[in-house]
Amino acid sequence: MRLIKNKIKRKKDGRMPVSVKISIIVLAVIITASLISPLIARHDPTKVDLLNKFQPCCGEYWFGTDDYGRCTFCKVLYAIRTSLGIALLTEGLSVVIGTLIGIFSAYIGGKVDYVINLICEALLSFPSLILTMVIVAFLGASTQNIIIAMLMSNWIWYARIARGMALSLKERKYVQAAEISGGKAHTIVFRHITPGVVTQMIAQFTLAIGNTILGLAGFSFLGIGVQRPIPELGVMISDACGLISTNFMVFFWPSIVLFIIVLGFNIIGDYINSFFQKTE
Amino acid sequence: MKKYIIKQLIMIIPTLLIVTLISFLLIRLLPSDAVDTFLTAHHLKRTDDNIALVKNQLGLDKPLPLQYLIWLKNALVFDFGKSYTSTQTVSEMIGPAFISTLQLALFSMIWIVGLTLLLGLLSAKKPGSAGDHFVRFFSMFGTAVPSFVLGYFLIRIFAVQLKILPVSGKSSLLNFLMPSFCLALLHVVYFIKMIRNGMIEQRQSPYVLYAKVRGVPEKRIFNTHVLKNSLLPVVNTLGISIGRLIAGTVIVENVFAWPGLGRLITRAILSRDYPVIQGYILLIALVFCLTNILSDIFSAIIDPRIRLGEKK
Repeated sequence: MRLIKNKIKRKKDGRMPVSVKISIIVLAVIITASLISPLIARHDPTKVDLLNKFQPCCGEYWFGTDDYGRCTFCKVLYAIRTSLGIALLTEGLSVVIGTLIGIFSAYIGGKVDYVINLICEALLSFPSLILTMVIVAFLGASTQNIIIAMLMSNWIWYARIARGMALSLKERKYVQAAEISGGKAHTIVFRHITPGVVTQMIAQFTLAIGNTILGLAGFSFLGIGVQRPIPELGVMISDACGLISTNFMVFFWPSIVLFIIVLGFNIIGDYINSFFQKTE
Repeated sequence: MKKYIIKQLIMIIPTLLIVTLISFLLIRLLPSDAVDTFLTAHHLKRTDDNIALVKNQLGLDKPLPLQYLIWLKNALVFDFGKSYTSTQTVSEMIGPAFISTLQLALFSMIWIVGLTLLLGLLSAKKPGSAGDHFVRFFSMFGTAVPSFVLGYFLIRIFAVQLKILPVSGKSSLLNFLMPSFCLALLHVVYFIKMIRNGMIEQRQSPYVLYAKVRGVPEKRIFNTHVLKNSLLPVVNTLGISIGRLIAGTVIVENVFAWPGLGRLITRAILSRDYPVIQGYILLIALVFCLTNILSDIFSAIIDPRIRLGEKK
């Protein structure tokens, strides 16, 4: 943790680009709004009201209403909650699992390391989209299964990076000194190796989170991700895509929100990563 | 090099065997039953007679290892059995779909090569110029826009409002334009980044400095030295990206109703059509193995520094 703090401290010296500042503000607003959505939303996002269908944007319905008279603004708010929640959950768990497996694999070494490395190499030769889809194909399409599938295909990437980092840290003098002076295995792993790996993993995490949100929305769009009636951006876009020639706005709002969220995360991720590269 | 290629080709066999074995075992071990899927798909009642009949028809009454061997023997002649949900055989469904997807992927390659060269040069010729900024903006946009959103926006603009491009189907070359662009965008962004980083790196290398000292004009250094060397990694990865394009068509095909592999596999997953899923996995694994070898060979031909089969 001290390493991260130092890096953030040093970061303050350089000026932050305007695009990063804007992204942070926009994302903060969007996330806060979605977190307190029950307070902001004036309508039930699942309530069907056929009398008010295809309302234009107005004071009552900020983003208008869809083909069932549901308030698009309220639906988008709840959808952001699901999309971001699931994406952060799966990506966060993937980082933790991947880092742990990677570090232990590198520290134990020998045959265990060889087998784990072989599995990672084999799985990484397929794009993660295909891997996730195949896992969903076997488990069946449901909200719970898409989380499991994304978890199963995402941890590999982190495990490989963590393993590489841990392998190089293991050869450092201070780790060897700790070993010679009789440090216990778990002390060495957690106190000497993990902190060095964690900073790199956080950088990778910020780069990947935008992609995970996109991936989840993509799977939901195909119908193999989050299932109706849970509001989710991919599901909303998939519902509205039949309306693009008649009522484009119903399609427009969830799409543009998804785009802005991913763009924001990508810009912040790029910035954090460029910064990590500079210091190394 | 010949030795290396033959060795790689032989290595495909165990890889495919492992892939098929895992996919076969997973299907048999999972709770959702193939018999149930078949019965619901064909609107049959769940009686003991019907279950026995279906089991016999699908060959599920034999012991597991024997089932696998039979499946493998049939797979050797591209017979993956019958689909659970339609009357066609799996190869009849996968064959034409694969060709459609391959056409789409190859058409995307045109976009990729064209746009990458155009934008990559625009950005790398003068880092920090207006062109460079435009390309960086384009890259940021390209990585953040979901391909399905882009697809529908394109349909809205070009098919609904301007009415110059057809929405879906696959009747003329115009049909290829929008889906292949959506498919290509992410790869273009990736390659542009590669060219840009490569050029910045090459510019700082000693041979460029030497050429400058010798008095070679800036333009010639760029065209003969920097450009060629920074294009090398792109050419090397281009081969692998064919495999990725074929596998990555899933979303784009669903947006544009393209009769390809991606739409086939989505429908198969939703209806739990396991023979189709198995055939698809085998095909994709084969495509990946082959494109990897092809790109190895290709990069060895282009870059004489790469010697295939020699230990590093």
